Amino acid sequence: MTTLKQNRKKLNEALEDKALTLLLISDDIGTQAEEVHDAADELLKSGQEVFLITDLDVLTPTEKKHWFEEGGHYVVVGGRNRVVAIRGMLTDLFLSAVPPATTGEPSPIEIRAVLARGDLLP
Amino acid sequence: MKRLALIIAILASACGSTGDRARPQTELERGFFFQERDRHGKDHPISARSVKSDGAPAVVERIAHGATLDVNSTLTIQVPRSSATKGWMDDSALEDLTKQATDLSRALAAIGAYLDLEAKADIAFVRYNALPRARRNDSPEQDAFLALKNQRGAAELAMLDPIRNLWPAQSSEVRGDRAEAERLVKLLGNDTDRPGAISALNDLAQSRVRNWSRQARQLEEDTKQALKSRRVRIEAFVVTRGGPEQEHAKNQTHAVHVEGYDNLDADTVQLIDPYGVNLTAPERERLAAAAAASRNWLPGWSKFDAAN
Repeated sequence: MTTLKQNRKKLNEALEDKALTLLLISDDIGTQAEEVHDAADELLKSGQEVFLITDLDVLTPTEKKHWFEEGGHYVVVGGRNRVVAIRGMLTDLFLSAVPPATTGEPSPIEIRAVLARGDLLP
Repeated sequence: MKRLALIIAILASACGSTGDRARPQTELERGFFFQERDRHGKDHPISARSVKSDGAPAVVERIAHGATLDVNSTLTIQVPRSSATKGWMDDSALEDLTKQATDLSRALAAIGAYLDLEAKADIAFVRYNALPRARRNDSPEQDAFLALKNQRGAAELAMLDPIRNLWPAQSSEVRGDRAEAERLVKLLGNDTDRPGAISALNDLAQSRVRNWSRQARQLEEDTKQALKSRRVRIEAFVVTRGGPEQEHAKNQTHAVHVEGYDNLDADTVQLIDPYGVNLTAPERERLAAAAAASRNWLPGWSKFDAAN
């Protein structure tokens, strides 16, 4: 589990390593970001890493612009050029809720699919 | 001066009285859209489009007492294939679903190759990770791992994307089957459970296609029945405007034949005399004969009357 609060040293190392595919998740109250992070952590294959970013101030303005500027989002970064493969809202990585629940569960298939898109980057 | 107008009355089984029609209830009713097309080909909607471009439901504005069209216009009634009908009548959707099931089956048949790729990528990553951090980027080991990782990603998506398309994660309609697919995909990683999971996933995909096909046929049948139970009545009237000396005739409406709109012959439509004052042709003939006979015996009767 890698959670970034105020220190982004691990994120810098991961970004420098061009072999890695990174799933970055922005945390916010009520977004179940931690559940997605934990589910992804169990699904990672070789060369894949997941980060939960609880304090968006650790990101540079460019990173905020290209990745996310608020909580409840995800982005997959990879390839030799460290570009965005796919990004979206965390709800995209959930299965629809079964009533009476209002929020569903993280979908391993959706999480694996976005990570695989990162692996496809040249 | 006379004004000719078409009075359109939309009759639907769900309607209430003519003055206060029921709002559309079913998807089909909401799907109706009426518009008038004038002689220049310009369309003039006379009801709200039931389905907007963004897929949001809208309401058909029923015309309580009929709509008025110019006689040279064409009335078009559209039942759009849109999000309101959820693509049930679209054959291409079934073809796409069948293709997704076939793709999934093909990917599952090649799962051995996928697992082989995964193992090779794992080994390549271990070799890559053994390098000092400063020497990793642009190394041959990195190239080898990236190539295998790329192939692994493509193989994984070949399996996952059909599942995602067959049972969308956000769809409440297939929620149960998607949850089952999630469970089965997890079992694919286990040597013991894999054969059973592959078989079950294939069965699930075939079931999805069969269910969709059955629903599509049912909807098609329901639609045919619903269309049979609905009628559109088109009537034409002459509306007299009348002058100052014809105040009594002002705004009277008289039904007329309109070519292309009804099946009456042009000369058979005639004003019905509500008071029985106007004579029919046979009656007029009999009256003329009686009048002629009267004129014939009137001189004789006068002479007879004068003699007495």
